Amino acid sequence: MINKRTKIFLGLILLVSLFVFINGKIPVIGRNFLYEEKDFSDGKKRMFSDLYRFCRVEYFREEIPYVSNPGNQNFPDSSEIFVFGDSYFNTMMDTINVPLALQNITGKKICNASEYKGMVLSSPISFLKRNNIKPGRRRIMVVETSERYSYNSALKLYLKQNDHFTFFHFKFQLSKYLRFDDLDYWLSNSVFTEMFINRKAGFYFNNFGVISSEISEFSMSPKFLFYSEETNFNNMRKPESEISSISDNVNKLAEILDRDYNMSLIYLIIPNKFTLYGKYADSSYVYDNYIPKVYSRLNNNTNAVNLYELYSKLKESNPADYLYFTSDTHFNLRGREIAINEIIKRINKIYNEKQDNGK
Amino acid sequence: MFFNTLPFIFFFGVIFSLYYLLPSRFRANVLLVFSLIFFISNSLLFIFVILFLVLLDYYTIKLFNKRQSFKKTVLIFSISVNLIFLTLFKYINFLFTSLNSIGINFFVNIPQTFYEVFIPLGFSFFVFKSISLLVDSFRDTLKEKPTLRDLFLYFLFFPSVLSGPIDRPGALLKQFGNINDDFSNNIKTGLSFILLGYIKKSVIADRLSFFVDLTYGNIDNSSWLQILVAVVFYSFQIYLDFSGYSDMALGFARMLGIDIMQNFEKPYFSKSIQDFWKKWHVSLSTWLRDYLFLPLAYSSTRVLYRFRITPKSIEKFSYVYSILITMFLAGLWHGANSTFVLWGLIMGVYIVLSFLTRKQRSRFKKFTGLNRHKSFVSVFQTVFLFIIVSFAWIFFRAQSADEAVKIASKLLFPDFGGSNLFLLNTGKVSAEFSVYYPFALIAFIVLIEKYNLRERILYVFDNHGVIFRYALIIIMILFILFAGNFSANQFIYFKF
Repeated sequence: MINKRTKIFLGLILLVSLFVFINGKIPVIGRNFLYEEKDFSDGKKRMFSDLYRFCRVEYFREEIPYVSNPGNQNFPDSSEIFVFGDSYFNTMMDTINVPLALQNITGKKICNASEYKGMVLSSPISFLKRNNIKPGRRRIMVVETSERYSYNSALKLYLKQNDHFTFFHFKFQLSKYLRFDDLDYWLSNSVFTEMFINRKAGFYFNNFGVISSEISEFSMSPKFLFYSEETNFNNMRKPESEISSISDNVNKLAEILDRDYNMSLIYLIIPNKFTLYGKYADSSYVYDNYIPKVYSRLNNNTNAVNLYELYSKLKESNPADYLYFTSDTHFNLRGREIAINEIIKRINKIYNEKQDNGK
Repeated sequence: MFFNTLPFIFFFGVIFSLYYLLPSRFRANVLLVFSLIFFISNSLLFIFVILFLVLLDYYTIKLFNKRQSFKKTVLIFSISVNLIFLTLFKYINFLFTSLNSIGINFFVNIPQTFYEVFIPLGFSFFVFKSISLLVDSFRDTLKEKPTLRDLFLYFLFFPSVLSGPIDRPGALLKQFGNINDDFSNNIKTGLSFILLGYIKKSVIADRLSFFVDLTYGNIDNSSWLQILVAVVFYSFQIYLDFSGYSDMALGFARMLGIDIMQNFEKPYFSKSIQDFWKKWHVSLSTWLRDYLFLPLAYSSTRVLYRFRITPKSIEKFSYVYSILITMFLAGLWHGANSTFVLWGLIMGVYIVLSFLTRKQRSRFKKFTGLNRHKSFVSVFQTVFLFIIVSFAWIFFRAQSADEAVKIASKLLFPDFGGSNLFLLNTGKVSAEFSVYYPFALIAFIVLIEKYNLRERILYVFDNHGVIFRYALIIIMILFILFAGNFSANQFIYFKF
């Protein structure tokens, strides 16, 4: 039988468990207990870099000022430019996201296709189909992908005609409510666990060199953390036939956009941080030239932006001028600026050609 | 959400407190609701398949009562439906790929989305439970016909839904209607199993995995000694991973007053391969014995009696045949991959050899006088068993049969010519941490098992005051949190 004291004990367990669930599932409440939002004495909002969040080793701690992005949802019909990108374009923490920046600079209406109405779409074509875009005036589709995702997306997803409803999306939508990842995130980032997790990570790193499994490589000087997804991708064998298929699919995407939607493609792969700075962690590392190989097979109508070449040149001329955050996967303001400038050049070129043709 | 993640602890906190705070008549319902949530959070859309199969089983059992004449047909039909689903989810790709490789092409392309959406965690366990239920009902060994709620609970009971144990319906079903109410004993025993489970899984198995993964992922550049260490580590890793999971399952169930099967009984202390299989994954091995090996042995014996063969030969033939088929299917049950099949066959060959040579070995011991040195023989048998079982695990762990053969040949025909016997390159992780620390952890768990430390701690627990008890629990939890690796390492057996 259960006595009164046990009931109180059980009641406490219930309260604590519910407290965790409420904080994990309702971000508005849970946010108040996240350590990174409590940690800055100057009151300015900052975020920790993603790879630091994984490893929690103090030595690599990097704070990035956080700028919240205003809504950037132009209707597809009225937009001049569509941007289809991943986290490099959409989750900039220290400044506005790339689609918004492009809109501010060009003055053109830009539709951020990758996050339009919260849809999770894998193919630019299916985005256009889903939104019933008709070929009208000449428009532009900017397709950006990080190097590590470029393989699968170009090989399997870009030419998908129909993303309307698949079991995958259904599952994804339902999973948001039924999975407990958010709880896990809150628990490992809350003020209640922060000290313990950080101390433990520090102890294992300082004494044994052990770091979170998400970090596959790191260098102490210069400070760099590398994401395992990137190093796995860079070390993966990539058959020439598949690289050709990737280029062929991007060429085909440009062709379909031009033929069926009267659109020009601007395609760019953002190099992995490990591609550029991998040697700092592993001096024997040799890049397999994946990006140059893909780019060498792309047609002119893809308007490809070769960031790898640009970044490599800059790195060579000024090695200390880093283009990526040291403990975040993404490019920093400098890397972003270069990407934006190059895209603007392509956009202007396309509009100039259009005007010339008009004359 | 798995046992070794923090959200699960709080999820369990909600179940546990509601379970005991609400009136006892609601307990089975609380279990069912949270078991459903747990299952859906892990295997979302697959719940529809499960619902269908549970209903099928329920109505099959009902039909057993109504239509005695059709009993066998109904049983065969229901088992076939279960097996068709199992084949569809687990083996169809393997089947088509195997047939393609020998030139038989099927123009059937199963979309990847199908697998992405319907990834059935623990489905093999589900099907075996279902067959148990159907056969036991067919044989009328179930004392009471289960209600639909209890049947759902039998299949979806959250501690055992993902990787077993494959509990017998008779043992589990009767508990849902009559839950053990001994709160303090439930907590004490349950918690001791849970803590031991976390030590096995998070503190030890997940530390061993670093070196194992590193070596198995780079066999060509690994030395003989490095492979040897990785093979030994893997033998412990798989045991601690799975028995750790089973201990946690048992502990969580026990905290709710429900007894489920103990899946491991210190198998590496066994003296023979038969003994090993009585102590390793007990719920599977007894299932295989009762529902596969014995029926096969009986039926083959009946067939052989028609021929003029001596009873001894019949016994031998029937044993060998039934064991090899059973172990082949045991391998296949683990996964649609030639490595698992080979692993099963190797284990089958071990058992057969042990069976066929038992007299010769006994004579040899007498002849050499070894039977007078029991402790020496006992140690030798344990070590020898560990070596042969570890050899079989190579096939279980390798990515392909070719890789397994490569590892086995590197191990059996060592090349000591290299400049460094231990070509250890563990990246930036120190050798102390990747090799010596795991050895210390292995020694630690061997001591725990050898000297029954769990039971001893429980004894100490019973004989001390409240402050000592709480202090002991807190120290153990802090030890697990600090020494454990919680970076979302899944349990190895979840993929089965």
